[in-house]
Amino acid sequence: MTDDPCGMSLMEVADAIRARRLSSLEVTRACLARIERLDGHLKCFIALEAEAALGEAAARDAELARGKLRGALHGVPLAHKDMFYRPGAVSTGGSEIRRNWRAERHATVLQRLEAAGAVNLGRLNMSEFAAGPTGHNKFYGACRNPWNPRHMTGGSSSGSGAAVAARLVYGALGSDTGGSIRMPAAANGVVGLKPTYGRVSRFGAMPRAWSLDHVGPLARTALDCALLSGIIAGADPQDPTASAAPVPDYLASLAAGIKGWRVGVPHEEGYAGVAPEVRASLAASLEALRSLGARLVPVRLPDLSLAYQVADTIIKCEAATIHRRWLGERPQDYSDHVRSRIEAGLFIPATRYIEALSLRATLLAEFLTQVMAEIDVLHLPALPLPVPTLAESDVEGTGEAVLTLVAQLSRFTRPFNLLGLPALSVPCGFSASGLPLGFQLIGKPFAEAALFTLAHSYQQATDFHRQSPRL
Amino acid sequence: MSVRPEFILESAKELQEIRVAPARARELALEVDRLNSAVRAASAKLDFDAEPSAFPALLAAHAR
Repeated sequence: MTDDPCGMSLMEVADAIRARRLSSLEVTRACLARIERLDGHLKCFIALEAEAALGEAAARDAELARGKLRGALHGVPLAHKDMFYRPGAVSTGGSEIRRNWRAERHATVLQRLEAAGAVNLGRLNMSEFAAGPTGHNKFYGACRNPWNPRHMTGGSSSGSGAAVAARLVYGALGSDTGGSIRMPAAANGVVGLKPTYGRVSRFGAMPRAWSLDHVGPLARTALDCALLSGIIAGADPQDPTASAAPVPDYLASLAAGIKGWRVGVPHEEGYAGVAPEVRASLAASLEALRSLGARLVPVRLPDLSLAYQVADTIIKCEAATIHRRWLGERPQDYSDHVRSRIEAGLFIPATRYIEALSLRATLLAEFLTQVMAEIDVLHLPALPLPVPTLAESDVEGTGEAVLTLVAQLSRFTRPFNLLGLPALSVPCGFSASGLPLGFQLIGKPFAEAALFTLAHSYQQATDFHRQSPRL
Repeated sequence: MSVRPEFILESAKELQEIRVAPARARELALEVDRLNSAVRAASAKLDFDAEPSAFPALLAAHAR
């Protein structure tokens, strides 16, 4: 364990505060100093709320001195994608249109983190209206990858991925409609969970596309992610799509190991278009899992492009519904790229949209039967390519080659938003250019615990998650 | 391509009351045609009783 509070994991710093080896104020000041030093360049934050954070930290310390422990996050500084609402507080959604908009609702996930004692450092950068897989943002500046600032962070939870990787915060919430948690997790070398659809309440989270939106955590380790997930998951009377299924104790099963677990591995054709160095890191991660006792089971994937297109149809139709009024009244206040990602939904027939929604059950049933029936988890790429540079992936006013590259990024993530299955992005190496690489684990419905257990076992045997960018 | 740029331009004006440039209408026609065709073809998998609420029901049935 490091002496620098910023070098600790969420679990380590929470333990240190609870045991009063560190105060919340010391930890919060250390984070703020690091943010002050680094974030002018990285642009992880849209708004830093230092004074309020110091006040919260002092209050948590005073509570602890009186013997009051709020919960597992008592005094731990976090920050979240700027799309989770707090009453009276600005929530930009990464947009110009909402630059000064103040929310009335209080996001359920924020309420749960606050109840567990978390300290809020501010609001994190994101792609405009959570629409964009690269982390570019015309209005608040492109978030920069802490491993190499010339490279993209991935999006749309760009600030969440980069801030956790840069050790500015211990964990962050993101949202994922087509890969927006898992892609920045992979690109920045952190762990990110897209939970099962309905596992985490969406109440008070800005919508991108209601049917495919998932809220989840990004953190440095699978253990930290499991801790945060256990706090935010569960039924919510304010969100009728939130499941009433009981939330297991994700931490309890972590040490069980994976001996005898069946890990599904796609046949060769499932890797078409995956870059060689990504393949090599995936192969190495599978070898590590095998050495931990897992059994690798070949599986034949269906054509994921159909699920991708069905998901694309739903996203565009729902986003067009959400944005129609502003598209008409304030088209100039959208970036060209984001407007172009929405507009097609205005012209797709309602019957196609409802067919797309109806296809989810059919495609999920097929996937569970054909792919998941004989395995415990499926192992896939998170990103099929090494992390591109900001210039290579800048979609604003550029040509077909960039659009093709950007469309590739979510090839292995978006289908699982349609299917609603839990998916975890786990760091597993570095590219030749020094950028993180990751694998993705897919689980059966509500089997987040299995993903955490496998990832935790992997992280006990490897050290990619302990490496941090030189900043 | 079965979706014409003219359809996009007319729908934008008459149904959605937004402005779309002719060049953009050509791009949108291609995109709408691609998505419309993909979902229409896949909808052959749907039986008469298929409905969107089957999805959360199936997820819940597989909860473990």
